[in-house]
Amino acid sequence: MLELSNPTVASVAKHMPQLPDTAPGSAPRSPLSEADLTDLVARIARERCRGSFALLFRHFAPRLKAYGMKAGADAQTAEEVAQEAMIAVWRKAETFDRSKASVSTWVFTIVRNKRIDLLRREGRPELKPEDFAHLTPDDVSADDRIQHAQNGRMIRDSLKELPGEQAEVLRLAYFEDKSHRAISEQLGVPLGTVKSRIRLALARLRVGMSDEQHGPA
Amino acid sequence: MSSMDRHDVNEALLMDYAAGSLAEPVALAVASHVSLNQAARAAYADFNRVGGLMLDDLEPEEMDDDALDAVLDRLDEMAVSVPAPRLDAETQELIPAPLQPYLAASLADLPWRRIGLGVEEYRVPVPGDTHRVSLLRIKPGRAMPRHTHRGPEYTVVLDGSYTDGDRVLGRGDLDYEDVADHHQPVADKDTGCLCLIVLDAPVKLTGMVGRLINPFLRN
Repeated sequence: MLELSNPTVASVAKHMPQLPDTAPGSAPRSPLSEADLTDLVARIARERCRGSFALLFRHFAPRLKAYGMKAGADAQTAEEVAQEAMIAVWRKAETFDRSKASVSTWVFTIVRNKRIDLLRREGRPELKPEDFAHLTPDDVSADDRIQHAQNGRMIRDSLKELPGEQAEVLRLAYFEDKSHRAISEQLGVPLGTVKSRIRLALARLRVGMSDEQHGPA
Repeated sequence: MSSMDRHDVNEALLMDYAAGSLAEPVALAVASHVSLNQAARAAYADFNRVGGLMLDDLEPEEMDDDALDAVLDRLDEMAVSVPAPRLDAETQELIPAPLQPYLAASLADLPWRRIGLGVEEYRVPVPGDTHRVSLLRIKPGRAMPRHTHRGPEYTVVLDGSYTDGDRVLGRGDLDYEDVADHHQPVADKDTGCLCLIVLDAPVKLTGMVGRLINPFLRN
C-alpha cells in the first residue's frame, strides 16, 4: 500500500487492514478506512505513536495542501498550512471524540482554523470540548444522526453528483472563504437563492438540518 | 426581514462559521451562540461534516519530499500557549468559552461605561476596526437606546432576557438585525440582560435619548 522505510511505520502498517476501501463500481479511495483512521488517531493519543502519525500524514497532508491552494495560497504557503495542521493533529489527538465526528471532519476543523490563522492572519473564536460537558443527553440524538450519516458511502458519491450551481455554492463557501453574503454578491443572486441552493445540496448529501429545528427564531 | 427569515439567517451564519468565512468579530458572536445553544451545535456539527466530506473529495496535491521528516522533527516542540486571563466563577459561568479569551478581566472588574439610563457598555477588544464588539449590561426593564444600523447587528444573550416587539430572547439566543431594521429591545423586568453585540458598522441612534447619547456611541 504505502512505501514505508521507517521501521516503526512499517510495523504499524503491518497491523493495518489491507483493504481497498472501495465498493464495486465506485472510484478507488484512500486505502485507509474510517475505522483505520480512527485507530491511528487513538494510537497517537494513547502512545504518541509516530508511525501512526506518518500514515495519517500521508493520507491527509496532500488533501490539506490542496485545501490551502483552493483558498488561494501558493504551493509553498499551502504546504505550510498542511504541515501546521498536521502538527496540530498530533497535539490535539486526545481531544478527538469518535462519537462526535469522523476523523475527516475533525481534521477539516483543524485545517480550517490554520487557514484562518495563516492566510487571513485572524484569530478563530473556537469551541472547547468543555463546552459540551454541561449538555443534557438530549444532544445525543444529533450525534447519532451525524454518526449514522458518516457511515454512508452514498453521501460521498452524491457530493460528486450535485448539480453545478449547488456544487458551486458549497465550493465558494468551504474552499474560497466566501460568506453567504459574499457569494450572493459574486454570483449576482439574492441571498435567499444562495441559501436555497445550499439547502438543496445538503438535502442531497442527506446531512441533517432536521425540520424540528426549523421554526420561528 | 425580506428575503430570508431569522432562522435562515442563523443557519447561514452557522454554515459560514463552520466553513470559516466569517470575520473574527462575527465569528465570535456565532461561536458564543453555538457554545450555549444545542440546536445550533447540532447544525454546526452537520456543517463541519460537510467540510470533512469536501476535504475527502479534494484532489490531493503532492507534498514536498522532505515534508514528513520536517514535521516529524517538529512533533516534540512545545506548543506556544497564550496565558488565559484569570476570570472569576461568575464570569466563567456567564461568558461562553470562545468569548472568554477576549475579556481583559472578570465581569465585575471590566471598565463599564454608562451609555444610557440603566445601560452600560464594555468594548471588547477584537483586532481590526471593521466591527464594534460590545458587552451590554441592561438593568431590569430598561431599554437599549433606539437605533438603526448602517450594517448588520448580531446579538447573543448571555444572561437574563430581552423582548423586541413580540419576540423574547433568552440565554444563548442569537438575534440578527439587518440594516433597515428599526428596533428597541427592552430587558426583562426581573432579570435584566447581559448581551454580546457585534455591529458591522457604527450605530445611528434615533429618538430623543438617542440623540443625547449618540456622541458616546460613536467609534
